[in-house]
Amino acid sequence: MRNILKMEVKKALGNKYFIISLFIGCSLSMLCLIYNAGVYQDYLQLEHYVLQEADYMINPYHAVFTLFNHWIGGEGYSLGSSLFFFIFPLLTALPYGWSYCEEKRNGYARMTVVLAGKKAYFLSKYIAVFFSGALAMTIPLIFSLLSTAMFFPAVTPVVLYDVHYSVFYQSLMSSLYYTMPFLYVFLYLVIDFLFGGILGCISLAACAFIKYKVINVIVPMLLCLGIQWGGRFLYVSTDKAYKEISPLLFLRGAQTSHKASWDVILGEFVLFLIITLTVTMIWERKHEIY
Amino acid sequence: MTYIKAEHITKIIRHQKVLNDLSFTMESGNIYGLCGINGSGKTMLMRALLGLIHPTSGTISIDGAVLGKDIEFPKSVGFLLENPAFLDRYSGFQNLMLLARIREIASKETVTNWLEQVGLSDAGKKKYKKYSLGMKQRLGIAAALMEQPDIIILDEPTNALDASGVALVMDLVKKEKERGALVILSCHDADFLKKTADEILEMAAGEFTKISPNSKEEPK
Repeated sequence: MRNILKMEVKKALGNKYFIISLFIGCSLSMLCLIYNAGVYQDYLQLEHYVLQEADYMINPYHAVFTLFNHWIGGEGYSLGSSLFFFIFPLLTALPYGWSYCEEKRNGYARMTVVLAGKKAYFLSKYIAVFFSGALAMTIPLIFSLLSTAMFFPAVTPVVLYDVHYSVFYQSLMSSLYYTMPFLYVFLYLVIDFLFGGILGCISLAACAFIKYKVINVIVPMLLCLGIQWGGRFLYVSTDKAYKEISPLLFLRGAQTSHKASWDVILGEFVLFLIITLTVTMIWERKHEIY
Repeated sequence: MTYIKAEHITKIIRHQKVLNDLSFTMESGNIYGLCGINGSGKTMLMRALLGLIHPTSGTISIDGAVLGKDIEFPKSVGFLLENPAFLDRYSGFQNLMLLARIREIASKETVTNWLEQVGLSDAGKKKYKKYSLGMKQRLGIAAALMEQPDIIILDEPTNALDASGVALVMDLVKKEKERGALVILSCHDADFLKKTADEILEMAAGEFTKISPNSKEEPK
């Protein structure tokens, strides 16, 4: 099992699609940074122009311009951030989600299965796909956090400016955001890591039914769009505070629509985990390989 | 000594009998040649012997262990089924190393040695997608033999090979037999089977129509 797992992880993280996925993700992070750094510079210049005759200085640690609401996961209005949180299901499936489909079609799967055993093959494939998807999701986020930190001070957000952060009283972990923002960011990175991995595995599970790898890569995206579309039938009243059900919206650290909640996040994760494990480890393992 | 024993194996796929009540015993140190027209069940039989498909009825046992019950797949097997299957983005050497690392039976030196034996020592670093059909076939044969398995199953091993390639396969298969391996191969080339196999099993509609010991007479 250890050998085949090492082989699968090597294949997953060493292929060009993983690099392409990271490149796209990091490019969108840069796009987000360029926009936000530009806005920040405009603000500083404006303040300087207005206050140049005054005898006081601008506060460089003004809490409105903080790292935590300008990294890609902390804001929801720049093109880079919007694009990233729209296409991330594709980025998670692109590295390795299609691999089983390819290996089943060209006969490589039967060769590996006979050598390693079905359980070891499917489990190591699942783990490799999970990690490739999780890293494809998380690395651009960490890259954005670090690159944004070069331009913005990590000032602890002040609740007075909550409209600038899009983290409100009822938002998920809002008290943490205003007291320990790094922990808040870390927890969001963990959530995004897990969802990145599980969305990649949805692509893997789809290989059991779909033989075209391009379609397999699109499946997680279609699923996320489907969930978002399904929300239209849930959010019927304007008086109620609904919980966000779309991964396209609840995986960012800023609330752009309905509030994120632990029960929906964990519920969806566990549901996806059960479905993907059942399809991969039970259904597909029982099937004969031609 | 390795042996395969099949008892009344029948395989039905979509209401069609692809294998029909086959019973036989195969022993190590022999080469068994399967022949028959397309769709006669040769490849299906090989899949069943590999444990990739399970008979609808009947059992296949290897050294007494029932396939699909006591063991999932044969413990020591090398095979080439239909077309060689490797990953395009890796070189021939890397592809063999990936497979060799699963069981850690074949070392780096063994892999290099097998590439030489099948005439791919110069092409070992070349990407698999740039291989010709014949080179792919040679690599497939190297993958099947490199771990020196007890059972070797080769489906159409001479496909896409030139005369020197066919002679090479013949030579390698005979060496494996001398080593004590149980070799099963299917081929449309009757001459090839006549020269290599100890026993020829003719198949039609999932059944053995003729099982004959091969006299291995050299053509005049």
